[in-house]
Amino acid sequence: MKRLSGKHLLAAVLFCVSVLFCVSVRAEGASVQTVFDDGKLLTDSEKEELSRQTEELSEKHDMNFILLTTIDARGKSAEEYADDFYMDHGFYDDGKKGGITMLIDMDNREVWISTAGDMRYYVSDREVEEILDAGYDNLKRGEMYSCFANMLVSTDEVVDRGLSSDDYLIDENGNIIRYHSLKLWEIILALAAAILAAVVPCAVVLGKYKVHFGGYVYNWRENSLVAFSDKQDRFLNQIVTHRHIPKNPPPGGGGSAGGGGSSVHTSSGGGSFGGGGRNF
Amino acid sequence: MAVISYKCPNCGGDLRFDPKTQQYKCEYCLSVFGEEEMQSSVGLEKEQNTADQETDFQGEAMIYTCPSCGAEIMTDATTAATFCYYCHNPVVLQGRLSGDYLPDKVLPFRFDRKEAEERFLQYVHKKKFIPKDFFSKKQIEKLSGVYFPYWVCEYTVDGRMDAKATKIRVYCTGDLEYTETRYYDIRREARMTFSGMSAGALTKEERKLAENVQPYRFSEMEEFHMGYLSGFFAEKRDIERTMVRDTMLSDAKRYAKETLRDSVRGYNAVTSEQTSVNVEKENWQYCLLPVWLVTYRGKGKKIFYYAMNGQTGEVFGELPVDYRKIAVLFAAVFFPVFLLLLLGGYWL
Repeated sequence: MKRLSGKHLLAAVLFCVSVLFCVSVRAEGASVQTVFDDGKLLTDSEKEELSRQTEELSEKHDMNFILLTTIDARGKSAEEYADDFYMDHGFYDDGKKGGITMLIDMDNREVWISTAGDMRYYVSDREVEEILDAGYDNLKRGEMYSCFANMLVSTDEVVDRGLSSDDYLIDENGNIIRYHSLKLWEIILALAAAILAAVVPCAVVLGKYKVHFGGYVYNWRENSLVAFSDKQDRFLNQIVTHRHIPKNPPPGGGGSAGGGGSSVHTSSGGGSFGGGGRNF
Repeated sequence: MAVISYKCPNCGGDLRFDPKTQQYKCEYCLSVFGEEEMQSSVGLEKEQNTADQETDFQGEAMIYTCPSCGAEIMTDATTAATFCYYCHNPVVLQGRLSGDYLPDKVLPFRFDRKEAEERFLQYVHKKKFIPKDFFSKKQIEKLSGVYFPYWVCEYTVDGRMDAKATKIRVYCTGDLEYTETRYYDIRREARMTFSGMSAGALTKEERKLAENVQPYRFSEMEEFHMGYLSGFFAEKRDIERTMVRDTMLSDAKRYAKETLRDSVRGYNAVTSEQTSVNVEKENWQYCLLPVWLVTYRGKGKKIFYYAMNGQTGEVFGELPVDYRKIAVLFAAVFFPVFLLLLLGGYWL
């Protein structure tokens, strides 16, 4: 039974690990279109190169990286267009952890970043600006390929920073949703601590039944009669030293890089998206 | 050497010490005799056998003749009281407990065989991790009351300790933190008496079990009388006082030092201790202490041995373990703790 529970444990751990760190190995050749140049702003070779980059990132982070251009937003805002596009093309629930859509909307003359799933946590409001910054100058100069390429590199960096408890979402009502996760070391630590906690009572029982640590020891405190004939505590001298208590460093200071809140909203299609954009 | 069998003056049956009433009882006519009657031996017929047939068996085992049936009784070198193998009459080998070997005190059994059996079963049934139904009355193979020889001693010692001690106090005023260190000279002198220190006086294997059922309440000890042994087994000592004295003495000195050290309280540090301990008085007594020995046959024919304090009922011995129950205990602690920690790790 003990051995069986060990097996179960192993299975449980492997399951957790696979869920948390699932590097989904997708079948080669089933490549999904990720670059949608509806606005015809990119050349064929540029599209090919961007496709290669997005696929690489997609595999690395298990998230969708969608590039999109348009000259006709069909009356929608850039935000709505990007969110709806992501949902309508089935990226929202394709099994990946999340995704990012980068839209150059020539109709609204706006560049927009839309985040979904876990990407909402990775890309906080501050980081949306960071990504936009990376491609904005190119965009203004009309260099669409460089704009996308730089924003992809910037996003890669942002995602690489990972998640911490400092990352949280702010929904339309201002509620804060924290990012919760378990890291491998946390699971191992919990496992080790739980094994230790369980071994202790078992060892105590076995020790009592089998080994008999302890046994009989004469209790001299209970069996002694003590009569003091001399009991002196003579004060000799005293030394007093003092020191200045250092002031506590002022609170605040540099915040952690990358962490922070991500504002999210619900799209018309019912999905939850984060992101932001900038006019050009 | 004299072999004694206590006989009932009324019917001639054998008399045994009854722990329940603390008197002597005839198993046959149910007559009861008090301690005084036994001491004076008035009306009691001791059957003595001036051991013509006593044979030395390589200085170890001895053969005696049973005063009741005349059968030969073979004993170990340390046996002082036993039963005849044939007529089951209790016999006391007086010679084994006379002269130098006459015990000073005896602690009589406080409960009889039946109660010992009940207490033993109660004890094992309270244990949660033994296999279910492991212990039952009919598997108790042997339950015998044995008087074990002990050295019990009382040490009176004079001790003196000199030491230095420091008291540290930290307090703040404004943005200044003060550390005040006070130095003291400590002296302690005391007369200490440690009573009831004991050492087993038998080299036989059973003593290891028996010694772990201590402590006994030595205040209830009685002056030794042969009659207490009737109906029980008894062993005579084969460890002399000189062999245990060094250990006892160093123990007493250690207790004295700790007592003195314990009386220094309220300091942050005590340093450069100097202690001296002198023995003022030592009082040794050779005693017989009661132990019920239980032999139990387990399921796999494995034999378990237990010892029970004949005065307090304290039990000592290795218990069988049901590993399935241990596994359940493990799971019952492991899974909740693991889940709680995972939850904690997830939400924090």
